[in-house]
Amino acid sequence: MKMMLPTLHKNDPINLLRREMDCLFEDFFPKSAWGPSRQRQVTYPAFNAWEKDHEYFVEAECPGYAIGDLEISVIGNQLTIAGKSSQDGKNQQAPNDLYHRRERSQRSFQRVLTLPSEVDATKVDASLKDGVLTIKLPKTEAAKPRKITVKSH
Amino acid sequence: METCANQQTTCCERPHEATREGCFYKPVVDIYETDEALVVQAELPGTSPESVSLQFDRGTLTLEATVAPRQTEKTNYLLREYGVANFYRQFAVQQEIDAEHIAAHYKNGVLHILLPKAPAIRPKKVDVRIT
Repeated sequence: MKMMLPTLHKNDPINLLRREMDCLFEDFFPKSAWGPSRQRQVTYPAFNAWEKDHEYFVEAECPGYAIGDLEISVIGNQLTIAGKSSQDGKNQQAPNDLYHRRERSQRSFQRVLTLPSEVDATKVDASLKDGVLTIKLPKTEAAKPRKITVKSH
Repeated sequence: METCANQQTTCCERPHEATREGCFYKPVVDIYETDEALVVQAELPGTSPESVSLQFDRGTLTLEATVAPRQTEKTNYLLREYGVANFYRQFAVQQEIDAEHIAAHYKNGVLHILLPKAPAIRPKKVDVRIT
């Protein structure tokens, strides 16, 4: 699954409209109407992203994945997160086991996120704790906000 | 005990209203049965073994987990695809369970619960001598 996200501009009206429309379509045509959906969200995994002065943060809930199952790469302002179907044995039950429910995502995934500005790929830091992946992406020098002192004569 | 159509993505009030204000998400689960046990794997990202409460009472399995907020309310979000709140889900278990030996462990955000079947209902393998 490869998903392109529009550039993140929080208050970009086109972006907001697009998300609204996406939600509207998903409400009217839920995936289950076309076939069984085992996904928690339509896009898996879901992302939260936020910004501080000097860095961006991206967080994703990836329960069941070990750090070795995840691959994170950064090119320019594009962050790619890929996950291989996990090693915790959830897919490796004996065939005679009887499933009562199978709601968890079984698939491998790949998502691409375009950040508002370039980040320093050498200083990206990712950690996985209790199924929550947190990625810290420091902005490049050029992208950091600068405080301008106004001189008075 | 479903009070809200889509608790996985929508934050809802608990069926038995809690004294403390707040909402919960319904964790997604895999449940499978083996000859010996019923196995529940529930996704509870961002919690800890200490924050999970698991109860089995006369055939009802209640799973509850508190999740501490990871960002402040003032966070400058660029994208918000999911919310963070507590988890709550209840199951009516049909099988006779050996309640004394229920075991659970939490790893990588997933709670693995093993509910051993009561010895009486486990299939017994009997070799029948053919004469």
